[in-house]
Amino acid sequence: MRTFWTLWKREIASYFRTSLAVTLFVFVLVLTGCNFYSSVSLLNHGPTETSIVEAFFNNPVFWITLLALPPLLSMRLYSEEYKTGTIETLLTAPVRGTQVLLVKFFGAFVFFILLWTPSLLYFVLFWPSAHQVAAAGYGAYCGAYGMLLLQGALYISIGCMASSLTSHQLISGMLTFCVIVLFFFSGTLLSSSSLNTMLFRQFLVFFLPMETMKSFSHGIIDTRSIVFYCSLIFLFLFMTFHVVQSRKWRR
Amino acid sequence: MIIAQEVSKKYGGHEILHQLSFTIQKGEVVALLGPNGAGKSTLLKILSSYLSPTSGSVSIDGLDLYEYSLELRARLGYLPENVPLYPEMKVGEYLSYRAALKKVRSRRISEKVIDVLDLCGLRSVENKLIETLSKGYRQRVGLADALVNEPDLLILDEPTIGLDPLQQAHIHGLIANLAKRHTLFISTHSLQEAEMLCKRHLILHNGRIAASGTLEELRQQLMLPEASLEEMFLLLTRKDEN
Repeated sequence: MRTFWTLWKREIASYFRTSLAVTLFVFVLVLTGCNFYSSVSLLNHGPTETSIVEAFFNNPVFWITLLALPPLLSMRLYSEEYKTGTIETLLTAPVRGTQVLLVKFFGAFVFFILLWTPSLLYFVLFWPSAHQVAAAGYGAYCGAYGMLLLQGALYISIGCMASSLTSHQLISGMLTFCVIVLFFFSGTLLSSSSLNTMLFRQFLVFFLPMETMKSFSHGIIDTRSIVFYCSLIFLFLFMTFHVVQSRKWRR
Repeated sequence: MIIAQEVSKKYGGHEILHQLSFTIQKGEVVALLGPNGAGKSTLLKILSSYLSPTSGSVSIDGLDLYEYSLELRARLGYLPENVPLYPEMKVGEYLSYRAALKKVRSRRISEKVIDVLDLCGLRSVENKLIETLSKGYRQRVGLADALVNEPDLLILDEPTIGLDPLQQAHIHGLIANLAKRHTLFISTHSLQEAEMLCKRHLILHNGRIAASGTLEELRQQLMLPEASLEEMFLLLTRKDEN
């Protein structure tokens, strides 16, 4: 545990030592601010069945923010260690490969949570200023933020995997972005294929990012989606571990 | 202390190391010599458990390097060739981080860091960012990192490469001092450095051990009673070229 904590402190601090942290905070605050403004603007058009939370978490600006963040957070995880050679001093210290992997993953994930935390304030402040709630119940808040974290964790695990494959941060970031976008639009691609049966459509509903977010932000929490996302996160982390370990057999 | 038995490394169809067997006794200072591409760095990476050999075994203090990798890594000091460091960290902070990672007890970390800062002449740059340091100072930080856990065995890969003569002299002084208390395995291109610092020499050529022994033993093996280390090295490493 002490090793994990030592590694984790350095990993988290590394985000704040560069301008990356400030840049990302500004990026997320501007985009989520615009998103919240556009979600609240819905009320100007008269009564609506869509809550502010649902509008916020299903807005194109939200998806742009969510899809763009993980590549930026994860592209340096292993790539930078490979490029500077610090992976050699790291892996010749008495640390386990799994500790390094979990530290890198949770470091990026905690930073991802920090970036989204200010958005909670929008909903907290909305009630006293507008004298109405942003969602019908706590289920919608929990569902929306829960799905945000699950999708964020999945995209970061994809980023971990991509950065373990190359020493070039840019390639790692681009690869992550491509895989995430492919996953995001996979529903559209699959539903237009010959596999488009009723059963298949039911399957798509519980894993497609937009569909799952729609139901979760409505307060409908489907455990199948949670299991599906957790399994994918585990799969990508497992593959990352083996990619890093396989380097031992190279030159 | 180190027993390597038939260690081979193959990668991409090339045999980088071919069945190397050697022993290094506790307290010995051994130079690993060889031309570029001989496999020196690969061998040191295997001994530091960064790489795995394709076949063969290595044991340190009677413990198998792969079975007891974590325990042995805690007792090892390793300075890689290009001295990889985190440039955004301060020297003292970096050494504390490395000490914690190498399982130095929490209450002994600051004491150990001060010791290695003094030993490596880094006190004046303790609060400086690593990225602002000269190559000589970075080399010293790398050496301090290798020493911070009081290792029994120190593996140094080209510790003076790219340094000016003054910086080289400082590192030589440090290594000579360390040789009194540690087992040292040093890879170097400088034959004068090897002759000055090390009692025994292991000469690698094309991934094989071309010769091994003290200067006297090498002269006897090659039947050249008057030869210098440089002459013997050139003779051994040019053999295949002719």
